Amino acid sequence: MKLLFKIILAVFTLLPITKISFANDDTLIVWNRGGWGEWVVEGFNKKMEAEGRALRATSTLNPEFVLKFNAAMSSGERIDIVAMGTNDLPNYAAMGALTDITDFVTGFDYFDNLNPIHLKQGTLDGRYYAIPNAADVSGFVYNKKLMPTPPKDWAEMLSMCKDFAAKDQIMIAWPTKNPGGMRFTGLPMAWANGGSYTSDDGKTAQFNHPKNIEWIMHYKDLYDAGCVPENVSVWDWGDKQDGFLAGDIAMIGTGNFLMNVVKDHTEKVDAGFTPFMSKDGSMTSSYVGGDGISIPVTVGNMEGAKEYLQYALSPEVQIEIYSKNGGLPVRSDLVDNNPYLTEDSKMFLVESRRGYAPYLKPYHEISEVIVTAFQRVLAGEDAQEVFDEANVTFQAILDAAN
Amino acid sequence: MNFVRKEKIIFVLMVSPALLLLSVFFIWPLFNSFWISFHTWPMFGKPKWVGLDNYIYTLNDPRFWETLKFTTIYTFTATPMLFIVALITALLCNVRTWGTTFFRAMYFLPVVLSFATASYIWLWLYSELYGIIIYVLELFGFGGPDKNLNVWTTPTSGLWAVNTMVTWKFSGIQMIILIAGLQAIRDDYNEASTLMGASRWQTIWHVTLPLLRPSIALCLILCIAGGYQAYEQFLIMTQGGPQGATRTILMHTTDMGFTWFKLGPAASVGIFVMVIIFVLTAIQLRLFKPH
Repeated sequence: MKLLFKIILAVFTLLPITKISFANDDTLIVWNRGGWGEWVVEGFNKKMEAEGRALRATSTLNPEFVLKFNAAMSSGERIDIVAMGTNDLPNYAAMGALTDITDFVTGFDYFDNLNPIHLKQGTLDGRYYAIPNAADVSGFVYNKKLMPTPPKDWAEMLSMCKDFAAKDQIMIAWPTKNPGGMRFTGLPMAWANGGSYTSDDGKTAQFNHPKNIEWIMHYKDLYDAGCVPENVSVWDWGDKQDGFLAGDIAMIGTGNFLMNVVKDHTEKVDAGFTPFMSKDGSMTSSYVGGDGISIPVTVGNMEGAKEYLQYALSPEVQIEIYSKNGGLPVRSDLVDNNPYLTEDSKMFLVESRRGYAPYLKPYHEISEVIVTAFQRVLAGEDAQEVFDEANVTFQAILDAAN
Repeated sequence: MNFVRKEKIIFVLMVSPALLLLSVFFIWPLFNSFWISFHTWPMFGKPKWVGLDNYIYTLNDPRFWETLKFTTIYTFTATPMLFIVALITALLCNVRTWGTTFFRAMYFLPVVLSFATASYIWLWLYSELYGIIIYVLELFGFGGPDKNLNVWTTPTSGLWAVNTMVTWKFSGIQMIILIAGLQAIRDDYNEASTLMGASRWQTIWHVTLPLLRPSIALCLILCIAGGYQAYEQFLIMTQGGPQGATRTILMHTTDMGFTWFKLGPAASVGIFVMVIIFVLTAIQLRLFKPH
């Protein structure tokens, strides 16, 4: 009995140390940062089952994705597939965490049909480390019950804002506490206006671009006019989205994924979608984000992982999972005969080829710099001074990373 | 086996579990942090020795100074709040009368909660929509009909809101330390003071507090060391905002190390914080050294 106890104790003590894994070649360990990936895993497993094969994907959904992925990779944990935000891809490719899949990706028949903006995020020095997968493209959503037609330019936006304020109603909210949200739905207004975030190679900060400042001053004008929630600097993404879905806010910046969400809120919301526009309304832009899928260098089942990547780009996923649920296909050859694309989806699709995705290695490190700058301007500080100061810090971070 | 040798073996056996834990969870990580702070530590591949570069990077990083400044302000505002509340409750709960035990238990109760739980409770209390604190403040004329009161919109109100929560959460443990100190003071000192005509306040100031020095020192050391390690309360309640003005040095270190994966500079920040806590503790020990 004592001997048995000792053996059990020894096995359980040594298991974690020896990194014995129960995963085998019939398993694919998939890490997802968000919900799209869960649906792909589910679809993949159904396909394997239908084909009578033993291969199964197991999904790990991680709300604190970056922290946990960093810890897992640095400890050498086996991960076969990772679906992460496209903005994170340049950094992980540079850190050597992702497998070079150039030959595999360029071998796809539909390679030329993949969204080039999305595709670029998974590259490093001309090599490919990820495939584009679920596209999240930003734009405005407005509630036709509160705002029958959206503003066409900034002057009209300000004029409508004053009307809303006079009725003590909220017209618009960009929550400046939320760095991802400000980048995804705020900066495209500046880009449409001719502004930029960095140089194309991501090495020179251009945060204090005059057109960026023009946009933040426009937001400050809206804020001062009284149609923006007074405490918007402590609002998060959820606050503005909940407010919109409750019928309390007429217009917010969002992404194509909201097309699916608003279907459950028709009592309060009759949603329309429109792109972010320049000052005179002649130009539009958007943030082309979403998920990219990669094979980490700690992969244990390379063949299974490649099969998963192919499945993620197949019509089964791009049409029957993503397009059906408010997503957008990342392959242009899956647009024409796609039965699920609405007029709104097509607007987002156009923007997905016209928009922009900053190629930045220190993506998260810059977050604090930009939200602080937005909040300081809303609090009444001089925009030029604040953005100049932020640009210096931004550049220092880029210099250290490049 | 002679008695002395047997005693030595028992001593080693008794001490070794604690020593082992201390070595694994404190001494080894400490030396490892020192080692990492002199390297560029990549996710993959070999670390590269960079000498003092990480320390120079940290000293030139405005975010280090901003977060250090905020953490210092927090530490030196929360510490007096905490200590004064703990001292008052300790003096009150040291009186031998009906209900003292009940109040001791009540004041100590928040200590058993985790920091995260306490932070969420107080977030709810501070909610601008249904928080009772905001409701009471509005009754006293703060905010107004056209202006919702939200304590998180300015760094100063955010800081005091967190300080209040921390005082509620930690004054109980400080109270217990001070009560233990108070009960170690012999009654005849207080009686002698009273016989010599000292008022209650004079007795506290000239007799009780000087004799309480070791307990006060322990309370202040714990407060100041804890202040420089502030993390969960700000992560949950302010998330470092607004304007990044309530980010603590530990939030900066965590972001630097685990989100931005700059382990070398993060380790150097950790070493700086350790040195600051060490120096402040040494100063306090000297100041509160028994006469």
